[in-house]
Amino acid sequence: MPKVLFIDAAEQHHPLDASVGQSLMQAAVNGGVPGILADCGGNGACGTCHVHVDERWTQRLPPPKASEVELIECLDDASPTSRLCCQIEMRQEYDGLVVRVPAKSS
Amino acid sequence: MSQVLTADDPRYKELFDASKEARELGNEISIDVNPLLNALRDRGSVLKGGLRELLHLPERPGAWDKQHEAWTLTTFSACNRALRENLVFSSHIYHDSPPVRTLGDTILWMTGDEHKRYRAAVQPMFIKPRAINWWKKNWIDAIVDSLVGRLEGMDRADLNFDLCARLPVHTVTRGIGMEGDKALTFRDHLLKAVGVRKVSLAEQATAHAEVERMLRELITERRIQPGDDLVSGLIAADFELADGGTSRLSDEQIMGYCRLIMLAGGGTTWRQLGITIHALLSNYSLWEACRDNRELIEDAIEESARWIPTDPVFPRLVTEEVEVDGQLIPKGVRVDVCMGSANRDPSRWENPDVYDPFREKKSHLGFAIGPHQCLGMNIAKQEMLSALNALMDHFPNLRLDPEAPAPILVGGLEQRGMSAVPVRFR
Repeated sequence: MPKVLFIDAAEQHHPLDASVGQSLMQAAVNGGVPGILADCGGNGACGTCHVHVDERWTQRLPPPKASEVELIECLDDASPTSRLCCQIEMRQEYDGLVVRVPAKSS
Repeated sequence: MSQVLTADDPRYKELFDASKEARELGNEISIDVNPLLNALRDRGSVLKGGLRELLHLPERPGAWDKQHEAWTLTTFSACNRALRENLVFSSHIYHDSPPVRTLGDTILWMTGDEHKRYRAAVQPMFIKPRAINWWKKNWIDAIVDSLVGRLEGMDRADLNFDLCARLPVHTVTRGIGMEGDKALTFRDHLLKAVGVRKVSLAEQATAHAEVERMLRELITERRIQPGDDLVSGLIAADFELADGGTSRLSDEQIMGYCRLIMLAGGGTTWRQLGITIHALLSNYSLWEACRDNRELIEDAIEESARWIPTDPVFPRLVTEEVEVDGQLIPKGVRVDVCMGSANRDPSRWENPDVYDPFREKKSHLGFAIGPHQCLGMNIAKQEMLSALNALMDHFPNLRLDPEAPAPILVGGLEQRGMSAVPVRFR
């Protein structure tokens, strides 16, 4: 089971076990990470599971699809490392992944 | 621009009358249910009995062809959870709904991986940036311009028929790629095919065939010559298969999306826009506040969907025994998820019965939440935003017509709208 680390807006660390095949968002919701609201349940529609991926990991994840990029561009606090964590399907090789939750996930 | 959009076409009154629609559907109610929904919520978050049963209303004729024992969820926390946990509180309930089955392959009744794959093919065309940069730019603004231009020549109007009805049906018709002049013909067929308009079985079958013919014709045209529209987008979409591969969508699959988008997109926004305009005009300082600070309009729309969501209840099927707020709900029952009472839960909102766009922003369930959150939500919001902005630009002193009967909330328990939105422009 790959381990992932969410660092929330208050700098609290949330180490979680994620299941291979589930989305990173689902792991965060199951682990009760503050700020990951996931209002659209993983459709990549709402932007409320926005995270900043640690720079050491950005290149190791599959690139976002066009609509994910389009949606991220209109979010507050978007950065070049922004992702919607509902669109990241967990794999064993993501063990050790670190992401940060921005102050306002909207 | 389409002739039908600005014509004095009697079909607007035939197709966009919330009372008449509910009468035909057989679910008309003549009471304000909001106090009753509040009272149910005060009784408990999990109640045995379907919502209609608890309100002493008869079941809708033909709504279900398999009768389930029913329960009702009333609070924000219970409804929020049920809408998010779609595998336990399953949309498969719609398999037992003859009207929904007429839509064909539809995301409405799917769950889990299947739902995710079907939704992913269409979702990119409904995200907020697309609503603004594609729907609004291509269709919404132009339709609003024409409609408001038509109103310029009038002293008074019923905005229910003259704006609220027209904007959404033309937006979705043009958006899927169909000519605007076909908007009412298609909607008439669609409402008869789905059973919203009650006709004989033979007429229903004819309407169903007409819907299919018109959609297939559009899809065939776009397969030969793609356009900048939703059907062309669906034709080009990579549809992910269960085994991880991808394919193109079939005509039948595309028709399933189109029927749902045309049915929901042409109906809900119509009713919610009327509710919103009426809420602002009957609290006139709020109309003035929005007019003088347009950034407030988005909050006014959001608050309207919290305060009176046009569709206040959705059904779900419980797939395994589940505990909600200390109550065990057995496997196999239907739960009525009552967003109407959840959206006025005093444990989440202060003075929840008051329409107040200035209140603290919190997520509500007016567009539902979770995997089945309204697909067209961002388009609906842009339509309402564009319409309200145009009204405020052209008619800053717009007011409810004091000589007309006071508008009231009418329709069915499951779909509500204003009886009329009579206004004076000057």
